[in-house]
Amino acid sequence: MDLTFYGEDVKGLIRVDPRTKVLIFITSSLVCVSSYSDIGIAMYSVVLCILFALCGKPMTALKASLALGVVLFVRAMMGNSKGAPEVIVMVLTLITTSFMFAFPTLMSIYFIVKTTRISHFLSAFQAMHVPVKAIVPVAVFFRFLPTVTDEWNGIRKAMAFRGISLSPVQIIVHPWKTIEFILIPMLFSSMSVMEELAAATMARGMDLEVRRSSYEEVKLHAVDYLLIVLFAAMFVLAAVIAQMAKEGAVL
Amino acid sequence: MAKKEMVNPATQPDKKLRVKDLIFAGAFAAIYVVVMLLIVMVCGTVPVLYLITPLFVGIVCATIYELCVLKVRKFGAALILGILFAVTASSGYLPGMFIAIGVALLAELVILIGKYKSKKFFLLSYLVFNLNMVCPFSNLYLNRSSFMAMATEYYGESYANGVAALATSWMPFAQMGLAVLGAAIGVLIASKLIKKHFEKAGIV
Amino acid sequence: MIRFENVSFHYGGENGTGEGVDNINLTINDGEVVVLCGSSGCGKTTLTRLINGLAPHFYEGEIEGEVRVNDLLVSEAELSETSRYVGSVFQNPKSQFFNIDTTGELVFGCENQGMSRAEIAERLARTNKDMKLDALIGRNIFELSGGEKQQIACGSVYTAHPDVYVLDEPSSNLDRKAIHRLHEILKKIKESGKTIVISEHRLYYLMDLADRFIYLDDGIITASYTSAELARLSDDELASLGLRCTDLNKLDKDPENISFANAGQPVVEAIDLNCTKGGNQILDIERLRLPEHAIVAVIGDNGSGKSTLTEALCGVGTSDGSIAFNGRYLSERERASRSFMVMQDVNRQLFSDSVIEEVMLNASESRERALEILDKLGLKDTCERHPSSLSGGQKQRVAIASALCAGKEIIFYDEPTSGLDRKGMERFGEILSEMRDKITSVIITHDPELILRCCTHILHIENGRVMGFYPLNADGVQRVRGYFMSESDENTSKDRKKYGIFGRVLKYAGKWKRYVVLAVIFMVLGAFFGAVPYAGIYDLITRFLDEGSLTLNGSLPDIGLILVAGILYAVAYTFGLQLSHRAAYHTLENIRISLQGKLDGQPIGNIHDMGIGTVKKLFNDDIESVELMLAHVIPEGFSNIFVGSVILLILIAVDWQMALCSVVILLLGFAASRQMYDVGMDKMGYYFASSKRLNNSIIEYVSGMEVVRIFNRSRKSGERFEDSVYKYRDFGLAWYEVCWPWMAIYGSLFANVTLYSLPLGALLVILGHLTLNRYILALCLSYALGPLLLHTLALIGSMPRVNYKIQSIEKALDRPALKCGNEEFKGEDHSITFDKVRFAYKGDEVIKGISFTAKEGQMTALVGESGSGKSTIARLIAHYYDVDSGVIRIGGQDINGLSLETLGDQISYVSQELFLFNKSIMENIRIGRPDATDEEVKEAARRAGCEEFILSFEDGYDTMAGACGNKLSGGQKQRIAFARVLLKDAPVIVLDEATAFIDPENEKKMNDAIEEIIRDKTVLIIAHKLSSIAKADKIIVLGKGRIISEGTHAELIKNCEEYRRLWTATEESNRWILKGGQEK
Repeated sequence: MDLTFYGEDVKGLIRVDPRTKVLIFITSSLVCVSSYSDIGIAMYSVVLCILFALCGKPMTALKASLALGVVLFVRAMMGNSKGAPEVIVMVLTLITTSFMFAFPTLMSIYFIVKTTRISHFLSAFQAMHVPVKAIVPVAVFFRFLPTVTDEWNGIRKAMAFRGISLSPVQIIVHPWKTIEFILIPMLFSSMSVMEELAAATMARGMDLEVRRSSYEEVKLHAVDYLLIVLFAAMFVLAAVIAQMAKEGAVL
Repeated sequence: MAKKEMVNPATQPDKKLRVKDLIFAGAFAAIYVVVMLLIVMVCGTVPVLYLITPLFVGIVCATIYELCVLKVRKFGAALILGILFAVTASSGYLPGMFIAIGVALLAELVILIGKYKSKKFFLLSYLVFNLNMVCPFSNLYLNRSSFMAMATEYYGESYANGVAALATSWMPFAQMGLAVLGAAIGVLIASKLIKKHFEKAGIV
Repeated sequence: MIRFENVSFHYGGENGTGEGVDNINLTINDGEVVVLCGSSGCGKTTLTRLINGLAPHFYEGEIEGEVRVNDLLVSEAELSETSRYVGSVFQNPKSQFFNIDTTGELVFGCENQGMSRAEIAERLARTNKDMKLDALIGRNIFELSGGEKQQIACGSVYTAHPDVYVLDEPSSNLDRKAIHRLHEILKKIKESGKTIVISEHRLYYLMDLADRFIYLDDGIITASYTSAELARLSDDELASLGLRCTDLNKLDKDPENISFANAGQPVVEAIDLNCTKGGNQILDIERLRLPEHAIVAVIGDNGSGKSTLTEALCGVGTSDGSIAFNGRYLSERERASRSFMVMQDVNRQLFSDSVIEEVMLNASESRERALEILDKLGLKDTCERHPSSLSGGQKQRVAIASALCAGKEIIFYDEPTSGLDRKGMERFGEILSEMRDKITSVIITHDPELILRCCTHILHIENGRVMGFYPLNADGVQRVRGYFMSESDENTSKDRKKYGIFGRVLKYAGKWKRYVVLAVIFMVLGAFFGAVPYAGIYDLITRFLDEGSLTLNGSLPDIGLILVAGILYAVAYTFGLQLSHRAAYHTLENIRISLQGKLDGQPIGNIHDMGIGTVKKLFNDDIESVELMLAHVIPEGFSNIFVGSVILLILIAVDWQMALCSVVILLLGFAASRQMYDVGMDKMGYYFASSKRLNNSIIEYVSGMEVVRIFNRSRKSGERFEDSVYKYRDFGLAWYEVCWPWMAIYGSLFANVTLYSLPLGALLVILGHLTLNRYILALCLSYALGPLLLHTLALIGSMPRVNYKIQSIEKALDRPALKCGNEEFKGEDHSITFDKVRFAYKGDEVIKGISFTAKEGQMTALVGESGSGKSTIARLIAHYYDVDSGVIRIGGQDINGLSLETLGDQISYVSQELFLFNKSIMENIRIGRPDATDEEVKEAARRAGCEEFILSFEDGYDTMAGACGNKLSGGQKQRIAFARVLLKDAPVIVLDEATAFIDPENEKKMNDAIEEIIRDKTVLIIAHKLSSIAKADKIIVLGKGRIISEGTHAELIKNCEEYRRLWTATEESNRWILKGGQEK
């Protein structure tokens, strides 16, 4: 398991400000929640894929759009053959529907993770006057994820030497022992890193009372405004379509 | 020569979150999330097990949560942990995320009742906190009606009924029950482990 | 300025151990470098924390007195205020950074101070320049090595421009090069006039920097030394203070410990150990044996593969190859159960709530025995304590105790003494020595003090390969010391890019990538046309079913469609293939060119090591296999997969239930093929290693045939050959054996997709869910799907082999290239200086710390027995190899800074073996200086005494060397080489005297020629016969890689026994020759 989030958009044709990305995320998830129109979601998905490609991840965009295309196709084609067992139909519908509705939201999160360096992300929020108090835990969270996975890998090796097995049988026979053997080294080891991290951070002058500056240049550019307008417009459009569909259903 | 007694910051009632506390909360959240992901990954291979992950996560992760709130002992630790959890675990579905954050806030309030001193309330708060494990599934429950409408549209009445039968309304409650149960077991383990290890080693 | 006024501090609160410092009065002036030293727990770290304010603001406790930095009262000021004046670097590189990217980390301190963006940018630029951080900018910190992280930590502090730098054991986790870099950084900071306070166990690297050493004992400052005073302390005095050594030169091995003689049987044996991570070869070890009862130190720079090697050996890391413990080959799990690793991060391996429980966990020993072991390790008092409440050294011993109680045979240690003080280190060494009888220890370490204290063998790993494995006898001590003292600070950790197999090849394609893409497009088109006929067939069937009969007229459009599609298919496919082949062969060309470039940069020794067979195979066979990949796998595989998917989609449109059925079948097939790929990959390493061996032994067999026949050794040589043939067969069979079942499974699944969907479709038709014509179409599509996928899989199946070959191409030449600069020659004169040069060839050290000077205008002769390293010295001067440590200079300039061409202009090297190109003799001499006129060539030939025999040939100077090659005697060849040298007229002459060819008649002429050559030059003669060099200005006597003595002939005859011996031997042989001459 590798949880190092090291996004970058150096190869991209355009660079999008992290705040715009968050806005995109919010509208995307709102659309997913409020509008059950296929058109709205498809529209969002397509735009997001294009955006991905423009920000230097064309392969990701291609894969995602292929996956979406296949799922939509399967959904559309499922009506043409009857008589299948109900369970299969249900599972397939469940999978395709969940995928479709979650697609824009997941894509927008993935977009943030894949194309934004954490420090850039944090600077943007600092520029928005989000208190440092809110930023620090997030920064530490991302900083710590790889550390924890690293610890976990080390612990598994240590277990191999000590004859502690993580096989299903072992877990079922000794559930409490297993939990203890996983948690204790993980927590003790991580806590010592935590402590040192906190000391180092404070010794280098991180203070909630003092105003921080930021080296990363964060500014909304024309692209950002364009995207904001675009996504807002799509949001309204999706809402209208959903409304019309509802009325249509009533009529 | 000036001889001075420094005020010991630990004895001073300090309700504000400091850099140190924020770092601890963020780091514990990372541990919590990694362990949760490990469990989900293992359980994800079997669909039935996947549905009862709230139970397992409650059992295993309780200790991490308890250590976090006991180490910080200020308003905000559980909330930060909850927010970071919500953002990673249920960001695919916005309402679910907000519910998860709300649950974390509730847990924080439980600790607040104990005035950040009572160990009982620290432990109790996890019973509430672990409800957030149901939130990633909330997509299914909250969308049920529209999902059914769509199923009817595509496959007719009989299919929709079949679907409804399977995604029955008791499912979310069953999951919530499992979450609380898991949390209860987890809390028992946590209090035992904390006494056995962390208090003995002089960390908490 | 830092002032401590009567300061006492004791930890309270959470970390409350009551430890601390008392009555500290200390003033540190601006620009001073002060080192805090003393044993663990003496309070030196506490002092650094008092300066940067972490005590009492982070580590709670009780403080008395005042600590001031400049005018700031640190003990009261906020940490953020203190941090403006004091910058801190900590011990653990892993835990001290806050950001994930390096740039963010470097500016972190400045941001915290709220500086403007322009200001930060300016400072960042300066830091990059001063600290040479360019290579590290904009990278993920998690990918950096420990040393690089520490560089970033220093850089981050430097960017914030504090007045005071506080470093808490910064070298604990660093290798020798990183320590050297740290030293350079500290020097730079000192030069800029800043104050530095370092708390440290390792002292040797600070001796030339520090102004004062403050010695603490139990929280009290008890002494203060200057560098000179500390350097004067003897090792015993240092030991009584608990301080580590101050000068690596003084380090020596305890003579009592030299008892590696009983190290016998190999306890660990590894063969063909290969390990790949993220597409990069980390380990490449042919054979490794660690003897029983040994304490082996594994040394090598960061990123050289030490950890990967130990993890592979003890069974927690995946690797190819066979590993045996005590002569039995074991699986990973078995190895893990019989060995143990004490990790650097020992916290990770402590599971229980008390020391005794920890030790008893899965132990094979009784409780009493466990208590005994704990007692021996000095842990008896801590029995009931929680392991995590112990100190670092104690935790380590608990881990060792748990290994002992579990009855392990081999214990591995990952940098066990980082952060241990002298006592801790010595204690650790003692424990290892005591356990030696039962347990073999393998230690990864950067700590020369530990190595010399207790280790018996050294395993030197570099770049994933074994650079040397030697016992730590007197020679070994010299060698390992040389390793740690060498002043190299270049960064070895590579920015390992992850390439998939396609990316790996395509990066060579360059502009031909376009053709690959085009080929793919054509192939997709072709495959599409290949699928069109099915639509025609479907139409025909539908009409047949609907109308009951088919008319020719009605069918014409369909038949036409099928025909046209067929033609288009052929055209597109052919065109695509053509394009892909064009791209493929151009890419092959690019790969060969790049390979040649790499080959040119390699030390000649490496190429010899590889063997001609391997090089030839690389250039020919291995590269050819890339053709398969580019010309077929990529375009065809891609188009097949594409069309397969399209067919599947159509199938879904026709009837999703049948499609689902097919998908399930296909998924099973894919799972099987995936499985085959995995197991095939696992065994591929063996397979190719044995093929490599076969290749080499064929060459050896053939080229050695002559010798073999003469000495009638054919049986033995034949056995070796046979052996590798059998091995190759066995490995090949083993590979097919594991792959075969999977091949059969997926083969049958893919070929017969229809078999499974046929009954389902029939059922659907009977139930009336599916029309007959759709059913038939679906069947047609299923038919089409199978072959397509099988073809693809055949291609995919060849991928492991292609991947392996590409990897072997890349790794063969990824050995470090020869270190060459491109400086102009700017030496003051042309003297040659060796400065503490050490050099190992194939793991054996042949030059062991040699220093000498060959002055300009003088003749310096190197004499010694064969194998004493004479010829190696000559080759080192010609820069055939890089030295391992030390420097070779010409006129004061390091030869590593010169390009091979520039160096070649300065030096004429005449080796023993002379190569004549198949050209005329004239041209062969002209090689010395290509722009020389015929007259000049002849003049040179005359001076070298060649003219006489050259003119005796029929065509004189125009005689082809190849034609007369056999007619030329050794001496004559050598004189042609002299002619080259005369023509070239380089200021330095290195002459490896060829003795073998010389007969008395030639000798005089040779000597005349030499006289001619060496006039007014720097001359270095490797003399095998002493008579010719008796009048040399300086004679250096070599023995076993060392200088025994140097002086003139007269001096040496008087003083040096070895020289006398050599001289007598020569005299005798001279007499013998003379006698022989008379008899004639």
